[in-house]
Amino acid sequence: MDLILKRSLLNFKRELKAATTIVTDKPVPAELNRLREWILSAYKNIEDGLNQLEYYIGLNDSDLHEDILSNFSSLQTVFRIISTKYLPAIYRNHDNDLLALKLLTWLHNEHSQTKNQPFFIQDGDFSILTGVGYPLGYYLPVISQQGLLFLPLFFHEIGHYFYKAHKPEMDALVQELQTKLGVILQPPFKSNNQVAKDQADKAQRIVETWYEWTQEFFCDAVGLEIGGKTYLNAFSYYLRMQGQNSLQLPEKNLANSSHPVNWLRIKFLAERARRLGLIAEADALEKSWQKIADTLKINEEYFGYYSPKYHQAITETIDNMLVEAAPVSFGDYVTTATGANSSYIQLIHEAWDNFESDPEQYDQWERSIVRSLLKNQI
Amino acid sequence: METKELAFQSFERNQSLLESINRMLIHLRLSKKGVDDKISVADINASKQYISDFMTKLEQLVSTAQNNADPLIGIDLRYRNLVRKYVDAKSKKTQFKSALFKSSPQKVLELINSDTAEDRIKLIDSLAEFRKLVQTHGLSDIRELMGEI
Repeated sequence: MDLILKRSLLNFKRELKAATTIVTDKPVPAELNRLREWILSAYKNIEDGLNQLEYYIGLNDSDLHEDILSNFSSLQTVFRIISTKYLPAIYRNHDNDLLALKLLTWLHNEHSQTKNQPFFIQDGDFSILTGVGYPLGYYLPVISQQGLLFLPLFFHEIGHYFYKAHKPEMDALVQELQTKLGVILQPPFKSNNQVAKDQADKAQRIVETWYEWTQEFFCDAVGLEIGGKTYLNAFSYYLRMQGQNSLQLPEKNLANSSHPVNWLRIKFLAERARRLGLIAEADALEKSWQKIADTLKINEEYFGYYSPKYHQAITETIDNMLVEAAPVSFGDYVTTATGANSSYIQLIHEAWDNFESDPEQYDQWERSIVRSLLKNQI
Repeated sequence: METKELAFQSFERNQSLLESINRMLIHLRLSKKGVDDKISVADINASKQYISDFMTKLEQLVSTAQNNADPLIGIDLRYRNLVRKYVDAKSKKTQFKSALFKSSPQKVLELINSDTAEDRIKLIDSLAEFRKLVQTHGLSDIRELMGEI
């Protein structure tokens, strides 16, 4: 066993050295400097851990073998996570990343929770990877990396980080909501028959599912708060053509699901948008989804996972979560003066205005504006 | 939350727990033999605190989970699964024999603050068994994040 441990340790140290060399030698844009520093520091921590393991292996004490193996496996998992999730952002960084990196640098600097936080972007569907003490990883499709229209979806993703940054307070608010839902779902009379047991089991599933759903509704509210109508447009265009699954899901797919049905998210977004003064935009949004639902002959049905009875408690919870996170508001960045695209929010608003007024000519406009942006002329 | 994000959150939680358990186990085994464990007092205390906080919360959640109809609230899906796996493991008496599984998470809180040799052995057994449960539970997170060969 000692020989296996010693050889494995040597191999691990060799891989760690190679990975460190990649990070040190690869030139990266300024926006990735924090990520590079973070990775080097994380690798140093792993090296310290391996040196400690080397000491334990040197004690030749078989009582420790199980602990050494677990420790080794733990360090190796962290190393592999860093090397598969974070290192490629350094190793394969591309000029096309620059637009999204610049927007995210701006977004991070506007919020105290993310200022100075290392982050990166990677290819994938729109999503985020957040962790306490880990860099934020933003994923977006290659096709969206060079355009402006769908960047507002990042405003939803950063909401997940806000949740994590305020986790004790957020969890307490969600727990309070879940308690309220539990009360609403309680049957008026208790009985011990099978029907009552099935109802209780279903109520349990509904209440538990709302832990994940509340976070998504909160992130949508963050996206709307930062992006205004551009978030409504990006969200709707991105999801509305996914067919019936965007409008209704079978009951078994709702239990413990990570996301609420998209149509329900649209309804909450439209209501919140109206509260922010985006009345025409909210009406248009709901109308377009209703049109698709009518065409597909689908009615609203959430099988008890949502009921108007929950509405007030949900909305109040999301309001309180927004106060806790305090995202910036699009209203502070949007101006009606033409050509005054002095902020990313303003620029993305102009992008959507251009796209909606003249979709045929949009690409040409976008190419020119992005070129100027990347040359730091905006 | 995306599945990947949920897996990452769970991975982080498991990782912090495993690091604390591993550190405590090595400390307990080596200090018993009078061998320097090369772990600072601050790190030992931080590990004790982390395990104690985790067990305190687990104790609360387990009492809810044991009442089958009560929902586990304020925690994510993977955490809910871990709590229910622990409750399930408690009934597998031939597989999980330590004080933590025979009794409750509260027992670990008593053991971790005890100085007797007997309790130290019980704590080692409890933490080692719990480590197995957490490692098995965490496998699906690691698969989700990194895939498999």
